[in-house]
Amino acid sequence: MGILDRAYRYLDERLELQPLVEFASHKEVPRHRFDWAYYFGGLTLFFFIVQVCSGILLLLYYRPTAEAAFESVQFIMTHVPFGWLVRSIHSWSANLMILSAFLHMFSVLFMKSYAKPREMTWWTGCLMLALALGFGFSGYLLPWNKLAFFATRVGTDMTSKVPFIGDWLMHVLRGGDDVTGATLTRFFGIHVAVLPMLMTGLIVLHLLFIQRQGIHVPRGATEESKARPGMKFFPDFALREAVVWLIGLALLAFLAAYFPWNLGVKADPFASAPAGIKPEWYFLFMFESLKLIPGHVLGFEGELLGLGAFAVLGMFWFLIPLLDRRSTRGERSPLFTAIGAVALAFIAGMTLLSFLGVFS
Amino acid sequence: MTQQGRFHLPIALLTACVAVAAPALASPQKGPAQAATTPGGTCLTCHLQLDEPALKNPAVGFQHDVHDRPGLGCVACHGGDPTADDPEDAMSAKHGFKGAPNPGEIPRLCGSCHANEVLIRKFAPNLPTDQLSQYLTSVHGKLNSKGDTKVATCISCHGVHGIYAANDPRSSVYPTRVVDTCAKCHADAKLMAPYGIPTDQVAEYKKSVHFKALTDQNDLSAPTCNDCHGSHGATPPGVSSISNVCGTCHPQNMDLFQKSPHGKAFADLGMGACEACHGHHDIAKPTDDLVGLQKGAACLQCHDSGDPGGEAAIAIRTALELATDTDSRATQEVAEAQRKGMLMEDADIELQTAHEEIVKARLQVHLAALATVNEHTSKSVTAAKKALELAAAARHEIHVRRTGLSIAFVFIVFAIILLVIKIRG
Repeated sequence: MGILDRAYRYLDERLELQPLVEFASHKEVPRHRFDWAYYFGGLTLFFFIVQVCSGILLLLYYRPTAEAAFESVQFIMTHVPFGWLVRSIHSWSANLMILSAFLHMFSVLFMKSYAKPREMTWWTGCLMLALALGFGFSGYLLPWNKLAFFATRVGTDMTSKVPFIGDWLMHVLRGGDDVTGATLTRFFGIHVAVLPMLMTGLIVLHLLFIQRQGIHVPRGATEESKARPGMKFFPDFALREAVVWLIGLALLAFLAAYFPWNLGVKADPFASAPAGIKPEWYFLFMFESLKLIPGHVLGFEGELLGLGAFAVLGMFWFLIPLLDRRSTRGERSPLFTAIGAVALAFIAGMTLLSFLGVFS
Repeated sequence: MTQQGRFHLPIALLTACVAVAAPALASPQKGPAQAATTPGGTCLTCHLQLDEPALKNPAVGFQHDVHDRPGLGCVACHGGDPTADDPEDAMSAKHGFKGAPNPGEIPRLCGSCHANEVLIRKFAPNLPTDQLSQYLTSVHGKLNSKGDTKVATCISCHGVHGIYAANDPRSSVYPTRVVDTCAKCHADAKLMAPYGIPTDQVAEYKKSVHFKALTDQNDLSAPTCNDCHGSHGATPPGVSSISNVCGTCHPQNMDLFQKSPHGKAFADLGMGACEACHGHHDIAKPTDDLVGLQKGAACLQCHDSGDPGGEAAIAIRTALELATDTDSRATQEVAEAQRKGMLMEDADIELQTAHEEIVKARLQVHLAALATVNEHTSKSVTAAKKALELAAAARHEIHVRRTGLSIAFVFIVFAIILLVIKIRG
């Protein structure tokens, strides 16, 4: 008896693992022409794991104060062995995680996988995307460079537009009237403690729901799925997922080696804002849309109306499982397919146009 | 105001007296009591209603004039009674109406307030009161005292009826506008001909590094005409005092030049100092090409390759070239490493040192001593070489990183291939 067998027997005697092994060995993933979309969720999880690991390594040297943050990142990138790699991977992986999460969300939307009984899976997914954006927003400030400083000033200033509680909210985020070392400390705390805790809880719930309810088969692929035998989760699907993760890792290695993440110039709160400051790419569609809205519309402040509109649209997006009654009944739902296509075209289009400098 | 404008003033004001005497026009909308509360009083009330531009424009301009304050107004220069309702009474001799002053009177008329410390303190405590005394020592002032009515007086530069404070960007004597104000006369060949003064100074100055700094970079400390020639006491600096003029902004260059062998030699030969190499109005951005014996070099004016001075000039030029070439190469290589994502702050510090030492070496050129120039160029070359070493190390590091990650990439691809084979199996 090998050492692995002995270890398994030791654990099984104490934890009764056999039923779990039985469950896993019988678990199957449906096979059809859209089954490639199932891999985006796992890929997002992979990038999150990379984030956790690289983030822990960065924590060993990072110092969250206005005086030392920039220098500590500089130290990580120049003096810590493989520090440049860890920091570059952390930055690239953050962006790829959000990209992968968006792709996963839209694939779920187009396959109508949110319909009853999977509403809660959709909701936890939406919350996780919001948390991922929060990770991006809070992490962007941590190197305390010029662009991040002014982008955070613009971003936190937007919260002050929220009716009634706007000023209070902005002060809570900033820890004062302006973006200062107090903001950095708060963002650091949120980035390394609050968000990871919430994200881990939601990931557990999300995966639990999927395990409990099984993987959804889209309406158009039901017959095909029935005709083809399911794929064993272990080892067949797991091996394929491993290939996808390895492709993600290869992409990270390539990006880190050939496009190392820039550190920029240290933030100077007394300097004037650089021309053309922009947030990270995943906020660009909102940022550019808000800029296009006139200063005042029907007596209301344009920016406030824009933020209100995005809030309403966000709530609509969140409630799609309840609003799309046809999908719940297992019928075709072209309206929500069209809504998803418009949303995807809008987000991708605005982001692309912003990169092309159309709005500059 | 232009020369022509100045000659029109007396005629214009005389016409004004006649015009405002006409009953149809002498019906001010404001009463005397109301008019007296504003600095212009009834003068403005009437003149603003006139159609003749020569009579109306002064009143329009005066509304944004720095002198439009209670206690001053038209009466301060022209006399008369700004509270009188009747134009004839307002502009009568019994109220001291003087009409338009002639050009010869203007400096003393302005000086009656501006040279009066007690009076000026009430309006602008920080304003100097030596303008008149300075003006009287200037070329303009001396000629004016001799009865030359064409030379510049106060209003030629500051304007009249619409004068802004000198620190107001709209003022004709604001630093960025001084050159055009002086150009009104000094670029006028016809006007300058009797005085034998050339008129190319303005065009020359506008090619200079000083004008570019003033206008392109909005550097108000960059010199314009009055910074070298003086403002109210304007006079061309003598040959012996040019280095002092330049030295007000370039004190180290002046100090080194005066200590150099050139300082005494130039003085003995009656040559100008700074302008001998740099020119005067059209001062270009100095380059290392000024040094040496090649074509276009300033040293070539007095030295040739046979004399020790010429040899020193060549050696200084060679030292500067070595330093600038090494610095330029190091700057490029460090920038290339930065472009590839390397943090090069140590190299940046070395480059900073290299740049600073070149600046110091160029400064030492004014001492015309090879040893001191070499001292700084050597430090610059040493620092630039350190930057080059750091850039080379960064290049090596980039190579190692890319090689390492390429190997990792190959392993990952290999693992993917194995997994795909396993899956297909």
